[in-house]
Amino acid sequence: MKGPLSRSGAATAFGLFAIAVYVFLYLPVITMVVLSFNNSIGIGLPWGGFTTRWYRESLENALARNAFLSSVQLAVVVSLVSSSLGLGVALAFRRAFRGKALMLNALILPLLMPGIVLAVGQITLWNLLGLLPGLWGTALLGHLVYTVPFAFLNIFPRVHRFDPNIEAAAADLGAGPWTVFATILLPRILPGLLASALFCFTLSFDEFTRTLFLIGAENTLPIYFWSIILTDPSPAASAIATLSVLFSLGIVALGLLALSGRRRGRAALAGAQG
Amino acid sequence: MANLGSLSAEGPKLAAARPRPQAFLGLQLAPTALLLALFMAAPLAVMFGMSFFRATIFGLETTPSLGNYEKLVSDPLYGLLLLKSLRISLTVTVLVLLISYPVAYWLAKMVTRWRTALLLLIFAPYWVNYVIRTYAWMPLLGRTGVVNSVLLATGVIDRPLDMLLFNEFSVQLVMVYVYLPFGIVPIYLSLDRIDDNLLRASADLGASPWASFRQVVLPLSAPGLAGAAMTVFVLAIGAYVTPRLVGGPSGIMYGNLIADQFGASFNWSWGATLSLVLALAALAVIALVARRVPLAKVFLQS
Repeated sequence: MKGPLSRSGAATAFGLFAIAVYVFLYLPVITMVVLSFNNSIGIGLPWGGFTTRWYRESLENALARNAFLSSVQLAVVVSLVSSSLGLGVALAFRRAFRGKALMLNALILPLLMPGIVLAVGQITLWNLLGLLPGLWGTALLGHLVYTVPFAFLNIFPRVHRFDPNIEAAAADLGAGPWTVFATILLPRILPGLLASALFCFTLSFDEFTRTLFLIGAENTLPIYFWSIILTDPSPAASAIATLSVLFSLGIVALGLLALSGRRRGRAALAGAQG
Repeated sequence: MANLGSLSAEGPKLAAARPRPQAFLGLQLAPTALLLALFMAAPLAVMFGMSFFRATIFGLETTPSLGNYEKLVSDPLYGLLLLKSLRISLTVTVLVLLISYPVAYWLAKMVTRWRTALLLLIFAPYWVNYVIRTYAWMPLLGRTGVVNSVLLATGVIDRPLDMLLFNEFSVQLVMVYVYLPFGIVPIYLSLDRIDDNLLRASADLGASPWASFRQVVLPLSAPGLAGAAMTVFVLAIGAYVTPRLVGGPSGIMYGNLIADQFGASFNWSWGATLSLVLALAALAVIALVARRVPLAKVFLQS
């Protein structure tokens, strides 16, 4: 797979540049992980010796645990709802309908709008209606406005690529619309659906700015993390961050394994688009 | 007779089999349309309405006025902060694209060994929370941070540098770092789609590597490049986390000003006005990019 630019001189130059970028990407995170074992009260140096006490404290911290559980529950619901709604729209987009262009623009707009704008807009609206912000109302809806478009963009190419004649053939042979969907279309687009669900899960699990304005007095893990790094940064913050990173990457790794069982690993990576 | 009946039913049944899912259209579209109408369109409309009210010490003054817009125009502070945020965001976007493209090209077209592992390593930060990735710089750049400690220990400096953190430099550095995966991933995906045979053909026809790049690779990767540019720019212009954590007073951006109106300053109508300005600024820049590469091409690469 050598392109015309793969001459050895150019390849070396590109390779060295890429290595520098990998170092740039990983050095801060690795430093943070190392310092999460620092037996000292500051988040930086000096090195006060190795300890696991920050991890013990974090794992025993009820606030952190509850924030983590809220994050996971919210991300699961966001992931399921976004993928269902995204699938619906993707199916509808296979045919012409009035207002299709408008719908597409409305779907793309939340992606082109700075997160803070829609977050403060939503909280203003809720406030006007006299409703209190919280995890399962404002925060959930705020996440969905952001994740449903991603789900649609992930699922649509797969649905679009699928030959409608195959479904037409099934229908001609007497299969009802549900049977056609469940037995013909769904198995073919399942990897895309799973990739989209995985992606929406991590979008929601990691979401911060929207949540900050919309969650009221409750916590998700990023919100809890934010509160400790603003008020009391200690190696415990680095420990919580490290655990959160491990969880995110673990979920993605599990997802990729599940998908690569279907020889769809690359497609799952592509699900990260956007 | 039964046989004949089923035969005669054949015609309409066939015709109904294909277009009938029109009936499902409403079901497929309504939830999302409702979601976007109620929680995207309505909030924007509410903010637009709010921007004509002014907050006073007695509460919200409900006689419509252009007061917020007059404040916006008459006090140069707000225009300057918008320009500064635009300048930072454009700088960050250009830097991210300049760093991302060669790496993405290398991964898509040049790497042969350990390709999957290298891909996973470059994709992994994409899945890691950006608050955490911003925070990761604080133990590095702080007064007692790793950079200062190393420089002190090696005798390069004799007192800790304060300029590493809490200024515009640290904001740009960390934003480039945080948004880099959002540049690399879409560019990689668009380069990966380019058929290598096209490159071979262009070389066989006598094109220099540079000519092949300019005339074949670059145009074909334009959707990925535009997608990366839009994503990074929108994230940067609306940034709140990075300037708040590593920016200090001199690194403040428009997003922080907006957030203040909904927090300490408690001036929601002014915050709504500022939010609309930010949204328009972001959309204006997007529109410039979209004139070169249509949005549908960027977002619906199928």
